[in-house]
Amino acid sequence: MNISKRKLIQGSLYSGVIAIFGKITLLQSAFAEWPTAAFDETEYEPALKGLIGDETLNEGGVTIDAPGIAENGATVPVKVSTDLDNVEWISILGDKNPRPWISRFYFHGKSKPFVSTRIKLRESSNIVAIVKADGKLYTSKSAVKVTSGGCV
Amino acid sequence: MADEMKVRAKLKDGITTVKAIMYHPMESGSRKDKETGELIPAHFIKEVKAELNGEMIISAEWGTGISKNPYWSFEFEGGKAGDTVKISWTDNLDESGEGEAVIK
Repeated sequence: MNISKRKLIQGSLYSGVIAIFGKITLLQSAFAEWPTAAFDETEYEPALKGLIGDETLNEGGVTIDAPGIAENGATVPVKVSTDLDNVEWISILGDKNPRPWISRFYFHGKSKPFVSTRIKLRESSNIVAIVKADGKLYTSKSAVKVTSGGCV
Repeated sequence: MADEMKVRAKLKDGITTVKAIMYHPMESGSRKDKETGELIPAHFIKEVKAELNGEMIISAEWGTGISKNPYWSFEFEGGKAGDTVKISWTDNLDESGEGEAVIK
């Protein structure tokens, strides 16, 4: 085997390896940050800090569609959306829940920055939504009066 | 497993809307068994992802605050009738489940 041919093969092997590692990194990055620090917290402020650290939260830019009164705190419908561009993720918290951090959704490809789900609320409290868009954080909240608390 | 999830995907005006229900207890770990008085161990979905023809569209991290038998709806552009949307989850006990729907 002459040198140039060997180099060619080596080169293609390397790029193959890089491609594989690139793929693994990409797959991991989708979940690499499951926010243990936020999840483990039992108070709202530390949970928020566990999620966003010391980054600044900008008020507004996020729409929350949730009932003003929820009869059953075990299943409260909530929709979160935003008109912001380049949305990286949307996170939902309940500020009086025993574990305030509830979820985070990452948007890839052509997904719309919209989430509809059902959450547990222990008592009357605020649903807080945080959006990361263009590297900045935006937030809104929505007060929900809970008639019968969810088993959270 | 056939009864893990129900998924529907509908295309309208270029936007595909997916609605899914996953059958899972979503136990927080802080609820007590009414008869024995003992804590029911935590058992909840931690990670969920949605794919269109194998390409990731949305991935999510969940905690115990998502309701039992989670409902999740989302939207995306670029889907065509006949494309496959697949949703899969992994829980804190490393169990997993999945479901899929063909876009109509």
